[in-house]
Amino acid sequence: MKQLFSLIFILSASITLSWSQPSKGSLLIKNGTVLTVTKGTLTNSDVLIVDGIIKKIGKNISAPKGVEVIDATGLYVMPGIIDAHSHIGIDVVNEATNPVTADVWVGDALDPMDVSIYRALAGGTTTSHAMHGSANVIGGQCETIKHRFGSTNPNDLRMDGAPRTIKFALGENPMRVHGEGNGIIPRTRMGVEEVIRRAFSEAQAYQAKWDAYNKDKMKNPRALAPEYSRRLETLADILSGKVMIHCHSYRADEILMLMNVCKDFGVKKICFQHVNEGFKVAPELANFGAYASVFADWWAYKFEVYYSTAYNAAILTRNGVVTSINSDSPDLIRHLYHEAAKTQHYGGLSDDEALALITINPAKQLGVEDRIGSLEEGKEGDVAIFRNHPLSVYAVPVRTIIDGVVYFDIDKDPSDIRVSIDPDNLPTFQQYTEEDRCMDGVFEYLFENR
Amino acid sequence: MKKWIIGIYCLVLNLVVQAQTGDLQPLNRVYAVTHAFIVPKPGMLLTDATIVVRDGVIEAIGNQVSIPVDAQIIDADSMYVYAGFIDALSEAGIKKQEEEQGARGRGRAATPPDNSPLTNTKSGVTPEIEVASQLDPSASDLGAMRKLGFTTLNIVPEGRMIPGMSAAVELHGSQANEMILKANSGLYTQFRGAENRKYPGTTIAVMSKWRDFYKNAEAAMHHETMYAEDPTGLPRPSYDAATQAMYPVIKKEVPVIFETPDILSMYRAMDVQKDLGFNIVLANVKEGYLFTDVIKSNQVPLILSLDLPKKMEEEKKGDAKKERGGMEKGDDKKEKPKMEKKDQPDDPETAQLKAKQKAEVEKREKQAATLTQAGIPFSFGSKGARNSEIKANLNRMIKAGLTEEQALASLTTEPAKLLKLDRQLGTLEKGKIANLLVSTGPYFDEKTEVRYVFVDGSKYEYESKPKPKPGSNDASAQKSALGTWEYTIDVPNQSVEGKMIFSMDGREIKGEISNASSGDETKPLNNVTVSGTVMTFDMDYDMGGNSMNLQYELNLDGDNLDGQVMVGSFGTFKVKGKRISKPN
Repeated sequence: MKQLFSLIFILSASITLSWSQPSKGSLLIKNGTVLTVTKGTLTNSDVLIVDGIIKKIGKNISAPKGVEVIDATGLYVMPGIIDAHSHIGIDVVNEATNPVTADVWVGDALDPMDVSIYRALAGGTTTSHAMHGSANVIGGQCETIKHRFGSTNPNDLRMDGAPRTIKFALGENPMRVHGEGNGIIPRTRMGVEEVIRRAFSEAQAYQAKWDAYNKDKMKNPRALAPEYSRRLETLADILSGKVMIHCHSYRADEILMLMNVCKDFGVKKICFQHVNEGFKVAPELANFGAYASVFADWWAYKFEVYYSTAYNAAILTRNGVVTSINSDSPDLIRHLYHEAAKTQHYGGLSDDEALALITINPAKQLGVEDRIGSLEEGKEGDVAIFRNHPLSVYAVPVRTIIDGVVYFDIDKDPSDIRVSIDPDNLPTFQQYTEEDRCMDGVFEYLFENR
Repeated sequence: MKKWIIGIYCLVLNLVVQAQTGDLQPLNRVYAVTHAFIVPKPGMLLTDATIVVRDGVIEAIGNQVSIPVDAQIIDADSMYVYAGFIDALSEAGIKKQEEEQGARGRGRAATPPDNSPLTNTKSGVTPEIEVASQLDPSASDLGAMRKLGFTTLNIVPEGRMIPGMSAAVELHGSQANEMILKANSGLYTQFRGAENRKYPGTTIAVMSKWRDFYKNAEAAMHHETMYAEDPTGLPRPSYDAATQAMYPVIKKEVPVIFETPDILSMYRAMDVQKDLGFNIVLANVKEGYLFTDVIKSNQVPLILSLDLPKKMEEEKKGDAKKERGGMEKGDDKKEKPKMEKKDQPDDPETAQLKAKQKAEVEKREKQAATLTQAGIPFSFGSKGARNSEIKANLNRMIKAGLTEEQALASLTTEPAKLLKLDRQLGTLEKGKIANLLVSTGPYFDEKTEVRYVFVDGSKYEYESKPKPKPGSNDASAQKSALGTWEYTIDVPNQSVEGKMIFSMDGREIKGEISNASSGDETKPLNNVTVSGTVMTFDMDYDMGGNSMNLQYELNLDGDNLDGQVMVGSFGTFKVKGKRISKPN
């Protein structure tokens, strides 16, 4: 008791946070068919991961002392699958209160206990791009996460050092939410363009003010700082290339529109998401250097996405556009390997081309291709092991490894993996909706106005 | 000599009775509580001791205290005296704000959206609001807290992202201002978006707004300071009440009380704190056991919730019966209709889920003990807990390993330190404020009742009353509830309306409820209890496949009722009602 008395709350103590680092492991995967994606396929080969990093790939590697060996005889070893568009692992998707919300960041709302993360692991997916939704023309900043499931610490999900990205959205979603819903711009596609141009122009003015202040400050100690705005600061960071745009888009005309806006403002980094009419403007996308992240065969779920084709990914690839296949769904994220395989039926892509759609290409789109997305020495030890070839309909993911740590093992798959449950409100069943999660959190707004 | 004392005692008693029946002031405010077990601070016990309070201040305490001649004597033989409890996070006495008309129910769609410029007020950023402006001294929950032994509440205002400044409030007085012991005890904030689709709508925007607002307030403070020193050549600072209210927070004179009822909100609050550097208190904490490392290494002050999830004993009973072949029938009549259902063994998945749920409930019961073992001090806060469950919840925590000494410290010395009121509150010492409670035995014994509470030296006396059991025969109280009532539940953006009918079923009271939107269909109410003017009951509600338990706590006042309903994690909503017919 006396000890407790001596433990006085020190309110004024300076608080420094030290989040613990997620664990890294060492593993030797023996004698598998290694699908490196970038360096061909190696039969009867081993992959050695030491402290989370791929140390060596080759034949007859012996395990260092104390390193666990996984026998992959007869199995396929591929890089962990990457999803460039999803909304799992976060508990806020849309801040639908303004057509421009560049200041918000879904990385603030990571939810490591989202069971969808484990389900994604069970499909060999090790990394995903947790995105803001598409309610706003310029939505919030996104977060690239690794699926290190089992923790209650949101920081365990972060892929530290991954470049900053931000969600844009064209077309009907922002038109519906803000135009129809609130009676403000944008009500049309013209309005969407106007919102972006105005936001960028304001960001330029904001940056100019701060540049002037920072210069003035040197010689004038009484200089007053301009008003601080995270929204404009983030937009200025887009203009200076520090933040990459990932833009929800469907129609060819709006895709061309945004490329023109980007040219006018000197923005070079952009990845179009969904891009269902991308096949119509594939050469233009390639010429700009824009990336495309598409569905394998999902369209016609609303008017603006009435027209598409399952050949989209193959056409974009053949035109030299760095293309990926994404899920935008906690369901599709569990079998992206099937989604990738569809491009072999519709478009005849090679194995490596098809696998690239869910590995090295999304890695490029997230700016992490030097760290993940292929099995190469020096890269991070994110691996998916399959029974049967991952592009076969018989493929079964058996192990999923991140940083050399096994997070999914089909032989040790508990019936209830949830980290925690709410003791007051037991879940009974999960209601499944056909809508994509891009519009999560804004439906109530829309219904209220009907 | 003895007779003389008794004589005075009787006289005093008469005066006290008069004072309570009429609205007379007591003769004086000098009291001597004698022959008591006194716990001046946690871990210390004086036997056969006396405490004298005069004009709101403790005058003397100990075994050798001479009783002043003008003192009203309270013979507390075999009773226990403690320092009055301090609730570090309370919402008692706060008038819930009426939602804007346009934001309600059917009216909403017709209202055109408000596209006028966004203000801090519309964003729910109102640090300039003080508790006194929202406090209703006559609110019944203030009295209910006092009856439990609480004498000081740190009350937070009602609102959105930053509702305003909390204040330490003494539970005595008829004017809000005279009850305030310490204004601006903390800046209260929560992850709660603005109303009417205004920014910030979600957690991520609340976090962003915090950073924007705070940094601009820092700049404004810097500007004002420079201007005060020498205005020459500078633009004049603009006036903004919300911004200026942040200055004491920026100067670290006032801590930020962050409501963080789950582990994710604790991480998020600490992320914002890390960016901005203010002094933080994590409040309404329910999952602190998941955060001990960070709490410890950063010495974060904590306010633990006095709310606990529902106990899982009923399930246990069912299981026990099942194990015995499911043949034994409980004595309890009410169990019978459920028996058939309970005889069915749970499928393995449900059983596993229930086991997991039970473990989760136990973790929360153990939270206080776990933190104590980790060497982390904490205070308790009542926000979100039902008054009627606070003592039972404390006992559940004690049963789960919390020492009574630590429980007491978390209700007295720790919150006093947290609120920087430890020089005047928290222990029974000469010269401190005369806040104390007198109970019939050790406070945490289940049968113990609070008999007297002194707040600022003013006495409140409580009669001994047998506790009515659920559905018990407190006949006159039950009678006051009978009939048909119309009710309204104030849920944001809509108003839920319907009828409740209470009638007698033998010696028990039963009730049923209907909802205007679902026609004549009625649902039964469970565990209807009327005690005095307080009626409680609960009901099961199916919400899109999720079964929820709604818990009502209502005050009866003639033909009117008001109170609240707890809807699981969705929160607590205000209930109002009127009796439209009485039984024949």
